[in-house]
Amino acid sequence: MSGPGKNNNKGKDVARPAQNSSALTGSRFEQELRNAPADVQEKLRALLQQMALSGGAGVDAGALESSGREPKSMDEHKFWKTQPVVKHDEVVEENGPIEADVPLDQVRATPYPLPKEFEWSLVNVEDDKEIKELYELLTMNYVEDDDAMFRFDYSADFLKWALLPPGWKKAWHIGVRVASNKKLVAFISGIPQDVRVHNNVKRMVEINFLCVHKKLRSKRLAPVMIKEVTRRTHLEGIFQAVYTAGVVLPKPMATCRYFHRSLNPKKLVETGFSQLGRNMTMARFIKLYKLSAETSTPGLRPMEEKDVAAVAILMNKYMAHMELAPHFQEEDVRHWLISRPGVVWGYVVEDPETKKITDFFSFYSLPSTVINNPTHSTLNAAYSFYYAVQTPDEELNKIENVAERMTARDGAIKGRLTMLMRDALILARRNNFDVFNALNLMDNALFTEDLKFGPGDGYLHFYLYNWRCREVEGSKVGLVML
Amino acid sequence: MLQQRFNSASAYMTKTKGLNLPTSTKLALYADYKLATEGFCTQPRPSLIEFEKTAKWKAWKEAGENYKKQLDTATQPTDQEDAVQLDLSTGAMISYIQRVEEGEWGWTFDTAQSMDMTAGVATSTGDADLDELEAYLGVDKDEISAEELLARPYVPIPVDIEGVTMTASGISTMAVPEGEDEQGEDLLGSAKRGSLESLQATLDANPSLVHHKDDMGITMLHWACDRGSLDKVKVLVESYNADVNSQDTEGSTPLHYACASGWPQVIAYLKSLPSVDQSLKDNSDMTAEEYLE
Repeated sequence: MSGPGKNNNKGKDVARPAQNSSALTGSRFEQELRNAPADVQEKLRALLQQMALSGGAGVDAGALESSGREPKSMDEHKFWKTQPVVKHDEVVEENGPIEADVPLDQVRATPYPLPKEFEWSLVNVEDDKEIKELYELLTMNYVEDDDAMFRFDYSADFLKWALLPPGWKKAWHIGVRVASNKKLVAFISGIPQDVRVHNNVKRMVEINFLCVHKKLRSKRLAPVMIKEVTRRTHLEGIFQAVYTAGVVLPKPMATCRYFHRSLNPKKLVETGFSQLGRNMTMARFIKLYKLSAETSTPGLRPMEEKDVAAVAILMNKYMAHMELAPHFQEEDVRHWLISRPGVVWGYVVEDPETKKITDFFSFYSLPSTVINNPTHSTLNAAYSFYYAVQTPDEELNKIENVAERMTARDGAIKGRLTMLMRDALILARRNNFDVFNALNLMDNALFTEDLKFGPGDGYLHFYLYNWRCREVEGSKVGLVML
Repeated sequence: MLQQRFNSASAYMTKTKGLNLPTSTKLALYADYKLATEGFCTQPRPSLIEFEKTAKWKAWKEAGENYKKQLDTATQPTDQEDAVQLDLSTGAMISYIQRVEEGEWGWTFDTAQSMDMTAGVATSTGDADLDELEAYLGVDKDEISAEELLARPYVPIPVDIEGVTMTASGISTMAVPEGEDEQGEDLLGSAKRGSLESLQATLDANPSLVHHKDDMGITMLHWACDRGSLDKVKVLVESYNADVNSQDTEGSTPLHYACASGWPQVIAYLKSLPSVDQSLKDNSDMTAEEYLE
């Protein structure tokens, strides 16, 4: 958002600082990168990789960063070279693991050595004091540039929800403390998840919330942390990981763009999240994004415990259309999709006549602190989470031509999905959200334009660790990472 | 690491002559040195005639008291900074080193020396990847300890890459629409954005602009009301005689704009003006009042 790309905009009121961050997402940059000559690409990629490795949906950690005084342009590239990931110039022809599974007796038994002044320390996420330490580390250190406009403000409840799903392992909530004063200065986490990539379902670990204290980036903790979480994953017999980053690392298996739907247009302009075009009046801008007060889908109601089984079936059926998707058990549905105050909102549509659950949708809350703004301190952002609508699979399967079948599918669900997501916007507005965010994954592209989402300046890249596979287009990504 | 840096810095300061430091600087260094090596001052106050001794004693004593105070206040978790509780000698050593660095009196810490001390420590980790990694990245060569880094103010590492447009934290915001509307001069631009002064300068140069309507029939006053800029609204009305009841192509008055955009102060100001006709209706047959939420 802040950065040279936007500084060209004459129509904006707020002067923005030059980009000054170690954790960036290029948007136009990446497009240009692809057009650049090979040697330039190499250099730019090295620079990018020097900057950061991200934890999750935009959760960047400025992790693999070199010392500020003498930039080591190739360090991080060298790190990824040692890792079982697809290389940038690699053409993948066959899906499968890059390295064989490691027999348990060959997994390193003890933690990797940290630099002398640090020590490993598992974070007890269920403990109020420790979750507060984690909360403080994350909220203070995801941001690199003090002049940036926003930084994530994860709530402690959100972190508990994100880190304690079914099957969670304490061994995967890995903290690093300064040995002398026990201050928590780095964190990386994993949660178990069955993930299907194309036709293979694998138990994987979702890596997220990698964060190194911004003053300690020169200590090169991130590579050791990645090695350590890998070791602890191997100890559980899991050899594949999925993670997302705003930056380009070797090598994205999918790339999605953020889209934003204004719910509180005036506040978005005042905080600099949106800008008014030269001839756009605030009055018209507000009118443009007005939503009706009431939802329109008959039978829409908050999801309850009794809906879990139906939602699980619905979700997995819908996800069958995707090439990268989580495979949810009922317990996963229960954890992730039933509303939790201030964290996640889950709704189902119950057919008023048959009483069957026909659709569901969900969104979660991830507010950002607005930095240095006289009027506003927090931007309340809702993020689109999982949803499912009915697809007429039997009829669709009769269509032999693939392109025709996909067009028919889009046509069959577009209207329904748009109505559901309009209701999601209305519910989000009612819950005081300022903006509704969605990546252009799943079938989101079917409704973003009609519902007045605007393209964002952020992209999110999806990565697999130790799994080689064909690239997946955004609309075939069914995995949402927090 | 910290101890070695402190030893090196204090040795340098002892042996280096002719720096001609001001007395206050010398005393501050002295106080930090004593706190780092001996702790709080417990010695009795020297006789008043011994000026130098008294000054030194006072510096040491007061620095220690200040430090205690800091520790007390630091128990309240501070929002911004890292409320690390450093022990006295660590804090004083860090303070001493920072003074010597900031003074730029020619002290540099010889990394090679400290590396000699740690050479041989780098042992095989038993993991080929990590060994390879360490061969590339090196073990931690950074001579500044984590404690010291945490105690220092944060300096962002500048990264300057053209075209990178996401915030530091990777939070996506609305992309700026690329469009034709970036072209050409915007006659009413100073009413939409920028300072009050730039609006005044524009109007002083071309007073008739206050009556200019763009192709939507919108005047500067409409724009200022739309943006909620009370200063500009007042100046336009009071100094440049803007037409407060001007209607755009949709029949909207400045008050319509203020109400539709929801700016209470601007609305109150306009309503306080006898010349404002609050009963005017736009093409949808709505008064300004009816646009209030």
